[in-house]
Amino acid sequence: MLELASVFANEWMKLMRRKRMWVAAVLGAFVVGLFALSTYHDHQEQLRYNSPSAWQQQVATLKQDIAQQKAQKMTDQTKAQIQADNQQIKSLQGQIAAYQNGNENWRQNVRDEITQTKQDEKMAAAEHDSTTMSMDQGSLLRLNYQLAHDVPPLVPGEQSAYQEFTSFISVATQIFLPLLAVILVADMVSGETTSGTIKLLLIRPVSRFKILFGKWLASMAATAALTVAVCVALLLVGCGILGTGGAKLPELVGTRYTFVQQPQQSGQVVNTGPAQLDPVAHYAHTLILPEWQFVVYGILLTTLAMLVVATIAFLCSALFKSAMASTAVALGVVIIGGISVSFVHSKVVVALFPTHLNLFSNWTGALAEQLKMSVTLTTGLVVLAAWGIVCLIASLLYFTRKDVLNA
Amino acid sequence: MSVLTLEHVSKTIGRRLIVDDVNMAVEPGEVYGFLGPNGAGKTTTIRMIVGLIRPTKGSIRVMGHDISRDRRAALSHVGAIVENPETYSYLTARQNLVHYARLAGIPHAKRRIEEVVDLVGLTGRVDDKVKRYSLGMRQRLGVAQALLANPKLLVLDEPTNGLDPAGIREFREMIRNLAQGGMSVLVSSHLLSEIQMMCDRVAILKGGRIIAQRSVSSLVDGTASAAMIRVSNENAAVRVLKDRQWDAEVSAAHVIRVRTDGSAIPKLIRDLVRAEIDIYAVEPARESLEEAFLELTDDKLASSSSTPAGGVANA
Repeated sequence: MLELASVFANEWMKLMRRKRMWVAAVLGAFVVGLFALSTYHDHQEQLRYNSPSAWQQQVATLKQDIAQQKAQKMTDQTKAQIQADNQQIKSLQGQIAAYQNGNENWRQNVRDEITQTKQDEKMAAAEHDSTTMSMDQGSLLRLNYQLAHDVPPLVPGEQSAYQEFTSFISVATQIFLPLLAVILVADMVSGETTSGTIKLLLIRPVSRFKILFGKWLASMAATAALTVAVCVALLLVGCGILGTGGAKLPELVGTRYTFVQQPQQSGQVVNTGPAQLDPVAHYAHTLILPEWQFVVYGILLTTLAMLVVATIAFLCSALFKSAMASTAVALGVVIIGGISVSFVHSKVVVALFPTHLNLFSNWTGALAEQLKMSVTLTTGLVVLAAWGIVCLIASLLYFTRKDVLNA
Repeated sequence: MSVLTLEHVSKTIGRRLIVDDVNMAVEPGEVYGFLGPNGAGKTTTIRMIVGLIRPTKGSIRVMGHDISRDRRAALSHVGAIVENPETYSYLTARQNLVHYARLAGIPHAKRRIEEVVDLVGLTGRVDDKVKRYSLGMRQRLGVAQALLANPKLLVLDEPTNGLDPAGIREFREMIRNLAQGGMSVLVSSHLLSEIQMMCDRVAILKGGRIIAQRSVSSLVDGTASAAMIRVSNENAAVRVLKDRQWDAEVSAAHVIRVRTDGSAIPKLIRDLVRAEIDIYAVEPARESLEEAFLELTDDKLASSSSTPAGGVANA
């Protein structure tokens, strides 16, 4: 134990003083900057098109349109148009009112929405449309949660920093964060082989197993620290720009999905293509979490996923002698893997690690809907754990046996 | 008890036999030299001794501990520089030494680090990053890390590579001092004169085998020596001597070289005097280790180029 602690202390000392650490940190800061820029830009756009003054203008335009329609000869079409316009005006005015009184009447609005959703659900049930039914059930869970826990919806025009964060994370976990993990870890062993220092490291009275395991632990610690730091910075930047509104809004996680072929509706052209599968949600295992909690757990899950990427990079560093080669291969695996998963339409992708890097989407069911397969958070964790354990064992087996011939 | 023993040690890589049945022992306080042309298996053998390469056959023991089975106990007695002393250039010398001290589990590491730093003369520069060190200073840092754990056996693979003559001389003195203090040293070098000046015993490797293992002095004395004789007429002298069954040749103007051992020299002089050859000087031509080495390996040179041992071991 003491020896392992010594190895860890050594590896941490080296890791913190290598150039790669700083490259990774600077790239991490760059990612955060990118997020800040795009969020700020979005927010400005949002303010321009989604503010009371913008809505007033839209109301005015709609009124003009109604006047124009009325001037023409009345047909069914113009009548429908006027009705639609009026509805839109009503909703816009509702938004303006809500904005001005700070969501005073949100309870009533939520209750109205519940009634509406219940009607929708009944209609869907009558049509045996299980997809819509299950979606409505989900909405009801959310709405009832808001009433029960006294959580008002976002004020119209308000953006949730948490949602911006989770949507950015889905991109970041595919490329940015794995890149950082690879840069940090992909030369942990090969760097020492390239420089020749591995020789003086392996002639100590410490087993190779402990040396490599200590190196792995230090890699994991550094990857976790960097991932958490970047995620927290992203979240803080998001909250700084968009405010902390929506922290308590509900997020449904752990929902199970099955997929059904929707019944052909009368009047529809008979579909001759491949069977169209639609998701049906089942809420038996669903948890309802406030957004902030969802995001905190999500950051932990993202960190876990990055540890697996780092372990794969670590294996590359143990297998290849040159730091350049191991980094290149690790980058290739992560980037090409990430891209190919989005292209390949086969059940095989479930077993590939890049599929599960964004565990947020495993948890919410977005991944299940995308793959049209019943993929849960547990699936993702099992697949990632399998990759991590296999890579760690492979690197340990190879490293403890190999002869250091030329380093 | 021997500090280091190798028994029937062989190493095969792929189908190549790199090291072939090597047996040797290093005694306490002895400086033992490894000598051989490139590709003879020196580096491979040294790497097996320090646990970087696993022997295919045979056993290696340090202070009685088998390196494969009891690695920790064996390596705790070994300090080494394997080829160039690569240390972490982005760390300071002190950080490097702290790093190795942690792995060696040295008690009172701080004090021991100060001691070795003083010993190799790096005091005052110890908190500089190693990348700002000259080659000689890096070599000293390499020695410092090797001595850190007070090893019973110091293994040095080509230690004087890249050192200037003053550095080599300094290094040699340090090795002799360490050996006088009871430490055993195993040195490999391609500099034959180095081995000759540093070592007590030497093993000559060729094609993965030890072809000779002797004390340096016996290696020098034991081989056929010769007499160099300054004469008035070298051609006449050689003719006279060849008539009388001597192995003689012209070495330079007015100098002939006669292969003989010391006891036959009076008879040789009598023969020359009888033939009325004027003798100005007679001196023994004691062959250097280099000549002995070449002599030992020479007749096998032709076959060695076709043996499959080349390259790998010396990388």
